[in-house]
This record gives sequence, C-alpha cells and structure tokens, in this order.
Amino acid sequence: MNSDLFFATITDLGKLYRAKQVSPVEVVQAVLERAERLNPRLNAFITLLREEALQAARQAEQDFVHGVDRGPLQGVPFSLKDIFDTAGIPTTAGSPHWLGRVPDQTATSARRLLDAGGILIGKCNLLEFAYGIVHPEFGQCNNPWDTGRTSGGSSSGSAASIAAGIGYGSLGTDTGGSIRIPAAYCGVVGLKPTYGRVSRSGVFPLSWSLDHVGTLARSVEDTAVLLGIIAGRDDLDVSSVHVAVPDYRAALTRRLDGVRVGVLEQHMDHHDLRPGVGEVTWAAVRQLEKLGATLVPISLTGLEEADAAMLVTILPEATVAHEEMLRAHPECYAEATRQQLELGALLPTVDYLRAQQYRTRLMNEFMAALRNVDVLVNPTVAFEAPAEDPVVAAGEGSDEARRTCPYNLTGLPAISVPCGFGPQGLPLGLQIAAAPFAEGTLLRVAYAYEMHAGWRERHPPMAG
Amino acid sequence: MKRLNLDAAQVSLLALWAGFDFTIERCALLVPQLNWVLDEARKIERLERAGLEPANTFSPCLWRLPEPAGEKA
Repeated sequence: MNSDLFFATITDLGKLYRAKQVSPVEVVQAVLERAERLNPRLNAFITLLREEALQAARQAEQDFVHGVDRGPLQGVPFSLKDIFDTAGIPTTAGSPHWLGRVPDQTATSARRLLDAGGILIGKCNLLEFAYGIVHPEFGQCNNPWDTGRTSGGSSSGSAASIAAGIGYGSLGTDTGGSIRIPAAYCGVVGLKPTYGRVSRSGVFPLSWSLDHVGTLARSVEDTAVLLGIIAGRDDLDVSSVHVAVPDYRAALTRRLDGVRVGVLEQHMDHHDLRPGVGEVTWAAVRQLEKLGATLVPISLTGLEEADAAMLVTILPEATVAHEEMLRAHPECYAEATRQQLELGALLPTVDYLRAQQYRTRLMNEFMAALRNVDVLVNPTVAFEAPAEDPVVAAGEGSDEARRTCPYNLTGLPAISVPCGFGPQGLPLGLQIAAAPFAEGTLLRVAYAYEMHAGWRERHPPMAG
Repeated sequence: MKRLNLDAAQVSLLALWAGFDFTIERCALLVPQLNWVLDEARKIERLERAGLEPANTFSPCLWRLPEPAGEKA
C-alpha cells in the first residue's frame, strides 16, 4: 500500500474504496502490520484485534461489491482508548485488576462507529483508569516524535497511534484535558465536545461532572466526520441531551471573515509559558486574523482559580467512582493513583460544594465573553511533551491542565489543533473553544487554520 | 478563612470519620499532598459566591418517560 494512504483523510479513503482503487482488506492488513511494527517502540496498544479486524474488512469489501453503504466510516480502521467497553473484547482501563475483564456490552459511542461501518483494530494504552499516572505493568505510551517522552495522558495510545499513521480516528475521554493534552503533545487534532453532546454510556467514569467522550484524529475534517457519527442523545446516559446534530463537515470553510476570535489574555501571556510557546501560539492567532477573523482581547475574572476547582471536584468524584474497588483491592492501583483516590476521601464536602459554586460563576464569565466573540483561543499546554506524565494532585499536574480544565468545569466544547513546534522540536497545540453546542463554529475556525498552516503535512520521523 | 495544616494524627481521624479506616496506616504518607490540596481549595474561598447555585444540580427534566400514546410532546 502507498505509504501516503496511512495519512489520508477518512473522506478520501472512502472515495478510494467506492472507486474500487483500494480495498478495505488491503488497508486494514497494512494498518495492522504498521501497528505491529511500531508498537514495540510506542506501546500505544494494549490489544490488537488482527483476526476480528480482518474479518470485518472482508465483510466491508463484500458490502462495497454488493452496493451496501453503511456510511462514511465503512471499511475505515479506528481504535478506542481501552476504557470503552467492547462486547467480547477485553477492556482493561490500564489496570492489572481488569486484565481478563471482558464486557458483554459495547459503549454507545463505539457502537455508533461500528454501525457506521468502522473497523475496530485495537484498544489503546492509557493512564490507569484515565487518572493521571500509568500503571507500571502497562508502561508509558511513548511519543512518536521522541520516544523518550510521554505521548501525554490520559488518552495516550489514541494520540500516539493516530500521529504515527495507525488508523484514521480514535475515541478518547477528557476529564481535565485528557484528549486535548496528548493531542497537543503528539501533533494531532483532539476534540472535547460539549458536556452532553456525546454519550458516556459504557465508559468507566472518572469524575461524572467533568468526564467527556471525544475524538482524536489527524485532521479537522476527520474530526467533523467522527463527531457527526457519535453525537446525539442516548437513553443509556442521562447526561446526554436532545440537541439536533448538524452536518459538521458542511460548516468547514477556508475563510474566517466576520468571525470574532477572543484571545484569552490570562492564558496567552501567563508566566508559566515555556520559551517559544507564546511566540508559536501568537503566530497562529495572527494567522486567524489574516484569514479574516477579528481579534478581541478577553480577560475573565476568577479564571486563575480553575485549577483548584478542578482538583477539588475530581478528587472526591473519582474516589466515589472507585470506592468499591479501592476498599476491596487497594493494592491493585499504582501508588500515585491510590494516593489520589485516598485523598479524595479526606476532602471536606464544603470545599467540593464551593468548587461547584465556582463552576457556575466561571460559566457566567465565559458566557458573558461568548456574547461578544465566537470562539476563544489560547495554547493547549504551556510546554512541549515532558518525559513522564505528572500526577494530578501535585503542582505539575495543575500546570499541565491549567488551560484545558476550564472547559471541563464549564462543559464548553474545545479542540486542540496542531500549531507548530517548540524549541525542542516537539508539537504544540492551539486550543479553540466555543459556546455550548457550537462545535460547528470551532471546527470551522480550526479547519481554516489547519488548511493554511500546513502542519498536517508533517509526520513523526518514525512514521515515515 | 485561615486553616491550619494537618498532621498525620489529625488526618487519621479524618479518615476514620469518613469511613475510610483502611487508609489510616497510610495517612502519614498523605499528609503533605492533603495539605497542598487544601491550600489549593482555599483559593476558591476568596471569590464571591453567595447565592450561586452549584453547577450540575440534579435535573429531573432529563429523566423523561416515553410520551403516553396519543399525546404530543
């Protein structure tokens, strides 16, 4: 298979299938071989599904031959963070305690990708239960741009595999930045939709009021395709909402005339930005202006307290989610994960409730700003990929999630799109956020930027 | 509001009161992180919040039964 095809968009791959220029069996076979070749260095997959994927590819090929068209994902290989339940397929959540656990149901969002014809090739490595640290039995997922560094967490394997050209999309979860942070570190597109936009049924919770299911992909267009498939109300998830799902691809344009871009000052010029990150981000913001957007400086009162509110919310919610397992098998957790779960049991209720009041206040601030602008922009993370993932309940964890967690606290949609490289030669992300259910708007801005910036054409050296 | 830093014995009592007695022997280990987290929580205290309803309040409207036959939504 032509190596360029590993980096094709979902839409282009679908066109080639329908024109009979390439077959799903050929593509799935090549993608699996690529995964087997690169995984020893990346550690991106916990489970590879060779036989199941090839069988599904043969079915997709027959469907094309017989004119059966299941949708935009027919024959397209994708992966899942290994915290999405998959019927008949092991789902470990990155925990040795769950080795051998085989669910009998498939998570709704994963089911929707399968129903649209997608071919599941594997389950991706992650931080233990998506909570801040990797379990040593699974090991760190390495960054394809520099395998001596982390790919970021917690949707680690999803981001690393997509960056390395293994599959055409992956689902992840994002509680404080766990889609957008690895997306930024690995140079791919990571979308956390609005709270309630995508069902979380069949995904083990970390922190109910902060958890989101979203996508990792190599392009904004692919992101729009994937979101269009997984979005929408699900009766199995009471937090999912009855809001119509638009055609996200139709919203993509190359110009941004009339779009008002709010530049979040506190996150653009904060002292925690490492050298080079501010310059790269400002260059991206100036590019938006060249595309026709109007820049508006925005400052939000109380934004600095978001780190604290995030911490005080996630710690007790995660402890409640894990309480049964923590009491019965505390030794099954990595030490840092266990400590975080124990800390959650010791926080005063009043602190938790103050944090929830703070979230209402923060939402009011964001909504006031979003009455005057269409999107907000800032760097996704203040630095390039570190050697290891920082723990949540420590200063480094707060530094990493400082710019992403406000959108978990408020539930607003946010995307990270590659915007260049830092001084160490590693990718950086531009975060774009919008009003509730305005994913179409942020995809439009991200797409216009991506088309003109050209970062999508650059791939990690190991992916060549 | 000023809060005092906790020591291992006080954290052990907290764990006991919270019903997490199995963590008691590990409290000395948790003290520095807990004090750091409580320091972080203190940041929220200084913001005006009076009268604000907490986010994610229970919403019965999300729990909808199927419409009875013959009735329109």
